[in-house]
Amino acid sequence: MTNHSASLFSIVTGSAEPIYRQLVEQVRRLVAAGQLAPGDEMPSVRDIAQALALNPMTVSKAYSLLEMEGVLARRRGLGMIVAAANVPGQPAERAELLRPALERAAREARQLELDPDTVLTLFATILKEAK
Amino acid sequence: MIAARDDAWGDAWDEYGRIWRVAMVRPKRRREIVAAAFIVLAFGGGAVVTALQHRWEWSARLLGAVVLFWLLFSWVFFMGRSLQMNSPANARLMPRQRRRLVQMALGGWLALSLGFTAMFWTWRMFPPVALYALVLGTFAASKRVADAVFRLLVLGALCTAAPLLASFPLPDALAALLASPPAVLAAGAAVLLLGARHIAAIYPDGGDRHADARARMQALLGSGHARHAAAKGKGWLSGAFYLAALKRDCRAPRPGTMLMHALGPQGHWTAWIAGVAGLTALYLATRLAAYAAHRLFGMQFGQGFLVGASTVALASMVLLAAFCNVQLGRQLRSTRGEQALLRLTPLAGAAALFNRRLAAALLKTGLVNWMMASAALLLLALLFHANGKVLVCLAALCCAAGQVAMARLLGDFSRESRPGLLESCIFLVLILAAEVLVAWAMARMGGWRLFWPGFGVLGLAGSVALAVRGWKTMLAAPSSFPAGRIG
Amino acid sequence: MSSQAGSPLVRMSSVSKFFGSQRVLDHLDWQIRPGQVIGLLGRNGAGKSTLLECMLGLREPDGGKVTLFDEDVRTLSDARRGNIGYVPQASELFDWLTPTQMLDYFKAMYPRWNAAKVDGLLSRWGFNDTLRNKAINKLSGGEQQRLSIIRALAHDPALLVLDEPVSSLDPLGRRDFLRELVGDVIERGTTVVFSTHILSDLERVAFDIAFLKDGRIALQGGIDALLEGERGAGVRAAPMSLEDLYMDVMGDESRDLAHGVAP
Repeated sequence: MTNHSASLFSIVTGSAEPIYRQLVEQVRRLVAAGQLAPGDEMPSVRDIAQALALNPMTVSKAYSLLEMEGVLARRRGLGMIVAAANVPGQPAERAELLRPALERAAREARQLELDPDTVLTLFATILKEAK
Repeated sequence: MIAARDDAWGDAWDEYGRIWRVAMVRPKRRREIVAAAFIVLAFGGGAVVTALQHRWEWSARLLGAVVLFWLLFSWVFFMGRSLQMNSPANARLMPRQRRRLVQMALGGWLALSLGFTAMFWTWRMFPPVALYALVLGTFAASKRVADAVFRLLVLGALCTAAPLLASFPLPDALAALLASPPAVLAAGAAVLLLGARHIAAIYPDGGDRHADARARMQALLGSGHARHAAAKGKGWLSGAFYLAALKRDCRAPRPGTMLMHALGPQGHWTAWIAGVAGLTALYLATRLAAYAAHRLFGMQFGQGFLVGASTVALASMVLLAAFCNVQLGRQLRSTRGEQALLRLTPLAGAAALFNRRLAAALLKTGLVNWMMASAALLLLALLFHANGKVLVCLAALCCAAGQVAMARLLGDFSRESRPGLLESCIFLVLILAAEVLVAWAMARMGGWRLFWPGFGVLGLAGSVALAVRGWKTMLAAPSSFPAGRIG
Repeated sequence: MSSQAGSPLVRMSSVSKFFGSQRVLDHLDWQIRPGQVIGLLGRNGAGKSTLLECMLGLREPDGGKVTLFDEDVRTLSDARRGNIGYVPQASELFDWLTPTQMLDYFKAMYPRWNAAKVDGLLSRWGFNDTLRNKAINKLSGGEQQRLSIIRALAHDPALLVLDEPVSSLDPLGRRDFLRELVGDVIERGTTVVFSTHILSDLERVAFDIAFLKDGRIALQGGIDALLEGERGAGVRAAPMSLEDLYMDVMGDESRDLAHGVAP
């Protein structure tokens, strides 16, 4: 049951992705990777808002979304914790997190008029390099 | 394309022309055209008249005067612009421009000095004329050039002008010495040398000192913001009084007095402490100087001179009493930002109440200004003249001046264009003339002793009437802060 | 997540303002709900300052009506006035006074004044003793702006109107200001309206934005929804960054058509 501080999060301004969405994605990734274990306490809305100079309502919105998805759970009077139902590491779930990045790559590939085989070969090469 | 060597002159004139055209760019202003037309008509007309009378010398002089005045105004304007053109960056990157500017400034100065000397047709006038032209040009250009040589020149100008200002005759021997050819030659040479050095000095050629001086000069030549800053500065003497008044007001805040602080120290009643004190000191100093001159140098001043000088001094103080509230209007126009903030404070009150509070505060300040000026004036008169008749006369003049003071004190400040200044002037002149007539009529009937008291009482009544009219206008107008936002 | 309910705090109906023949505000309608944090965007000279001044009753509009706190802004009561904080674009006001003198002066004008907060802000934002006793006209632009903000926050206003409040501040100064806004002002449910060109600040702190174009509020909405492509009236565009959205709204009509947005 670790307490996490607000420095866990970072946001980028000037991107096409709204800030609440960035926070949501970050939490999903951290949970999937196991850095946020079930039962861990999340930093309060206020702490995140102060640390990142964000509107508390934005943070609240992200938390509510995550609560609806079941990633986080609200404990009465004690703030948000990571929901127990989250088991880290289902590859299929983790793979889903990669979808946005892959969709962007797919869009670019279409613009460059590349066929799927070329793209997949390239991706395989990159993955091997990354090891 | 490198121009041929022997075309250097042509190049120079080209450059002069280009620089002149660039420096003289300015919007056409009606005032300038009217003044120019007036001068041309007056002097030109005079030239025509004298030509018809076959007085060719005068004719030539008057025509020359037209040309010289044009040259004077142009040169003074050029000095101001040329100093701006000689920025630190330009001075380093375009040294040619700096050289040309110095040459043009010198040339213009010499042309003017020689021209005006020719008008007087005597070489004796060259040194003072050259000096005045230089001082005038420099003042117009930068208003404060911290140059030792310049200070010397200003001192020289004041010395030569002192006899004229103080109108006391110099001892004959001294006067003859000063007017003799060797003295004139020496003075002329001195003025030329110092003037040339001075002109070269006010066009520095870059570097740290130039940059610093430039920053100071920019503040004085004034972008609008810097002019605002100057307008809101604290006086050297009344600053302390202003801060004391501010502290006291913060402890026991009353809406009206708090609102007046928006106008800055120069719009506060404490500003007059410095003004009146300064003028009193000056008056006392001149009397002291005259007394010392009498005792130490045995100079004789006719009784007429003393009375005359004192009268002039006191008359100027009456003008001070008349125009004591002009600064208030100026401050109202230049502190719009502060006024906006105050309009949003609860202490300021709702719109209807706001104008009443402000009007009361303005009236109080205006009355204090007028009373202080008048009191100082009467006190000085009492100290030095102790003549009942003069005192009554001065008191009456103060009452008349009160009308000028009250005329534009209150009114509808929310509008951008206030009722014309010219109209107010004409109105006041008419009122004063009417009062003089009525007082004269009263004196004719009841004895001459009644003139001044009568005039004074009429002045007071007029002041009250003007104040009441302004009050009514102000209370019926939209909220005064921020000033000048409508129309 | 629904925004704060309640009747509008600020209601501007059909407000028009002319400067000579130039129409700065043209039958503008705008409503701000209590607790909203809304950023106002517009081109230079588009009339953002004029709009804010008309909103506060500092200028009389040539047409239309403005109500604040359900009262006509022309006859705003004293109590309501004490609930408004305003940071004008000009930060060098009352510049003949020192910060201490200026704050004392305003303290006397307001019935409610949080001296502890003022002191805390002065200390945290770099106003040591020397600076507090230096005339404001001798302070740098950044220091003047920070002081201006402190003065507006000092009486705990319910409505805070800021006109380009951080244009002279460096990134650290802006971050401090944003933190203060988040930690104190927004926490308390203050309604905040601010106009700025610094889009990154708006993205962090504003929940809604409004675009002023051609004298009207051309587009208004939640910042998240607008970034994701909502344009109201069922129109959708591609997701884009705030900068691109700004270009989109402020640009010319041919560009609008190319992006599938009704001009």
